[in-house]
Amino acid sequence: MGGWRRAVWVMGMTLLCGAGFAGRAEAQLGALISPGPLSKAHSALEGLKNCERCHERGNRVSASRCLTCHAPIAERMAKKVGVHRAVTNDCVTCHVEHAGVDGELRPFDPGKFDHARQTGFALDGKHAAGAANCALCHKTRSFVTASAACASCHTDVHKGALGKTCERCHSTKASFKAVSTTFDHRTTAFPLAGAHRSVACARCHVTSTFKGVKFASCTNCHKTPHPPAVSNACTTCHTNDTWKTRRFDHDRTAFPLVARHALVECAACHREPAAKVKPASSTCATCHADPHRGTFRQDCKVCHNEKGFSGAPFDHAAGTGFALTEGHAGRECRSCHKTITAAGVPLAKKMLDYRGLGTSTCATCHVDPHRGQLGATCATCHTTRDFRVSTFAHPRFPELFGGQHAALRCEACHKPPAPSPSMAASARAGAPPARTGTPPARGAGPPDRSPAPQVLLSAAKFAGTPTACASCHADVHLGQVRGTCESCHSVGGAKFAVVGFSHDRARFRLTGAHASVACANCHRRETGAFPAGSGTATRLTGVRTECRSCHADVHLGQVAASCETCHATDTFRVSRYTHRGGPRDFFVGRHVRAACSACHKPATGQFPAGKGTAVRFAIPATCVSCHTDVHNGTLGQDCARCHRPEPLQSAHAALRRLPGSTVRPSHPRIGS
Amino acid sequence: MDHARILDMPSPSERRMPSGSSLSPAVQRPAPAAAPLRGIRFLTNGVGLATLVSLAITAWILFGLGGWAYYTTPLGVRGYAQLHPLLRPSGPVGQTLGVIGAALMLVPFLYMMRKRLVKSPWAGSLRIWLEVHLFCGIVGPVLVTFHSSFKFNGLVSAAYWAMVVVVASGFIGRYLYVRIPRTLRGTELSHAELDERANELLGELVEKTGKGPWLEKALELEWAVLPKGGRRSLVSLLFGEIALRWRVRAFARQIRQSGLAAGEQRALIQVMTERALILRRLAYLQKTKAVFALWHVFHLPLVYLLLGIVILHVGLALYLGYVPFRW
Repeated sequence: MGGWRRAVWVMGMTLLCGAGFAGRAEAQLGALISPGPLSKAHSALEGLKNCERCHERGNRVSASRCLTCHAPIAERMAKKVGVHRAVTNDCVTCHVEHAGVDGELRPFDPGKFDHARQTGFALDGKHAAGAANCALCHKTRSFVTASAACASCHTDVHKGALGKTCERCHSTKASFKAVSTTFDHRTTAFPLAGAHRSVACARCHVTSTFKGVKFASCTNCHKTPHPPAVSNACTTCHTNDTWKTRRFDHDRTAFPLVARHALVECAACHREPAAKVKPASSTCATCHADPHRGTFRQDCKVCHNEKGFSGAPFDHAAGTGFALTEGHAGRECRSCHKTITAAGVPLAKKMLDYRGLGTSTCATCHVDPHRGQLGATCATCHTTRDFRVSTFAHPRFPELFGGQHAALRCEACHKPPAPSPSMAASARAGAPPARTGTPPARGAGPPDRSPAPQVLLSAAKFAGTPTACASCHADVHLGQVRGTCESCHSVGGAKFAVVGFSHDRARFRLTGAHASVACANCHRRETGAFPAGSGTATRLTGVRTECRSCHADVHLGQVAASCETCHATDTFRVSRYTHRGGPRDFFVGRHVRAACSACHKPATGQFPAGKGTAVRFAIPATCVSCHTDVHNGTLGQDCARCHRPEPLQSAHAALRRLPGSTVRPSHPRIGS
Repeated sequence: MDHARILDMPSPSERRMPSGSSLSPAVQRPAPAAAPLRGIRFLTNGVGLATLVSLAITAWILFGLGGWAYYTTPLGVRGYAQLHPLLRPSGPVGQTLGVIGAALMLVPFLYMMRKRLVKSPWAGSLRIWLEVHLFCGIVGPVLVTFHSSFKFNGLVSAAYWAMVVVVASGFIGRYLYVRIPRTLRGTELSHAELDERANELLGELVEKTGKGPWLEKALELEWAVLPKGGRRSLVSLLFGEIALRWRVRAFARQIRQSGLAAGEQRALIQVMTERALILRRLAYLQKTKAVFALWHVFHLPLVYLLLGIVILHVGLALYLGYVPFRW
């Protein structure tokens, strides 16, 4: 086991050497338990005794120990300024130690630093170039001392005259000298507009004076060629764009150029030199001649406007008391005012006198075609729109002019006379075209579909037209009806409908099914003698009322009694009938409930009224006439000896099939 | 070992009997096994499993967490790397790695206690304990390495390098260990037992070769790999087996090219390999045991140095407040 001993010796020596190195100094002992050398800045803190200057027992590296030495940082943290203003976590989160002598304590990548967000001072424009070189602005070790004020870095060439807010004029995007191109003059009290924009700064800001330049009046900078009267109102004629006044806005003068005035050349009015800019403009006569030769004393504007002398918007109603409405409107003045000269006459020879035209009566201009029979107040029937009488209400008998009469044309009743040459001539002479033509009167006699004769309604007779029905309508009943027309007809009923008639007033009242029968089924058109003479008319009186005059006898004379004995007007069906004849003991039991047709069957043969097919009513009263004799006559004819109509059930029970019989007992109702 | 003596073997029928005994599989262990089982067997031994786990952890830290970028950052500015809060030695991952690594490295002490103080068999077989010891002794240092973040300073770095030496010596120990044939439970086999097994294998060899030319070749090989004379150098002890394996492999290649059936080939190679190994290990047994005893002296004292510094390191960290879960 010599190997054993040798190994122990080697190990021991190794440990001793290690201990020998460790024991050299306290600093080296510290280095033994240190996780790595401290950075240069903290190199004084190496050594075993210094551990707890940073490390706190049980509390790692507390910020308080760091800040004991780094008091300025603590101060700034308390003031919430600088990079550490918002730091809440431990120092070691950002400052890692024991990373070697050259270990980085303040890792800072200018490229990743958001200067705008962190400091509130964005490095944009020209400042961006300095983003990578912090020392350009940050001259001291602490970056907090750097100020955002421009003057902290830049010299103020204005020597404080323009205040401290440089950014009002200068932007970081351009150099200081480039301010003339970047400065926004709109932010000043005198925004530059039009031609002012292209003026060099120094033309106004003489000797680099930027504040206090006078600009209230144009004459602060510009000289005026105009006399003092207009010299201060430059903007009335001139704009910022150019001195030329060719596009002058005349609206801004006391005399706006409207309509045809706007088309006139400037020199037509402004005959004086340009400096004299205000020609007299109070009256039209300054420029225009008066063709009325002074007949109108009032202002021209009452009748004329700038759109032209002819077609002036003269208010005829206000000016003369005679409104030109409807038919009067739109006519040439000369059609009434005959004295004025025609168009095309030279202005100097023109005579425009509109006076002396009476307006009280229509007859001043119009001829009366009624020749005075309707008086002088035309307006009762006519309007200014048209001579046609469109809405005339008859003042008397209003009930007569309603209903079907309402739609009639006037000439249906007021028939004009045959045309006479004198009337036609007078109509052509000047009166407006009167209503002509007579459409056929509706309902009054046969319609006349030939072209209406050309007659003048204006010559018709209007007064004293009769109002009786017969004066227009013919009696289609040929005298059968003796009462007044109104008892049956009304002007309100269409097509002479019988609105006032009730069949109850007749001798034959319409009941049951008769009520729905068409009138013409009974009242037929006949040609023959009527009270008013022979002719064709609907027979209204003297129609026969017996049933057989309309209905055929389906019973072929079997029934002598009147029809009403069995039938009513509601229906031909006999709903209930009591046998009056026949054997009394027959209608008992099942026979009572049997349907009529069970016994009374349709038969073809001889009937009282002749041969034919009808339900036979007279039938023999024997049982075998309806029932089959299941006994084949072996028990005789007197069925009643064994059978009664009721009760059949017990009878059925008693029935037995006879021995040897091949006949099956059958039901008496059905038969075998 | 005498060549003539080996040929003096019992008949094959007699030889087959002890092959079922408990010592047989243990001795068979180093023999090249049938191919399909090899991968799984790799996982069942402590070194293989530890290698696998270590690789997994390394991959996770370097590539899963992104540790590669962190560890390659220069020390001066590493404190500002993105992963520094996580991977620094006192960070959530870094410190946990250190704690777990230290805990794992305490396990070998338990093995030591089992071996020296607790002799009763209820405490688990020594072989299992050794495998656990190997596993923890490999994975622990790997974790501690990542805990250190490859920053070796002061006394604790001395502990780290001590640990590295201990682990390295551990590999040597393991290398020597397997050269001392044992039972499954880890008990060393005696010279006589090994002799018996060697004879048994010779019998099988004779049976398999049918005393033909292959037997002749096998015996030639054995002779070639055995030490000549009384020389048992340390170099030959440590690296001689490599030459043996080369020769055995060359011999196996010859057998495979022969006309023998596949089953016979495999059986012949297996028997021949095992016998060659046993003979060689038997020849070096005394020397191996002597070196292994000396190895203990080398492996152990550094462990105490390591333990002492780690206790100081942990104590200092706790004293200054670098406590787990206060990251």
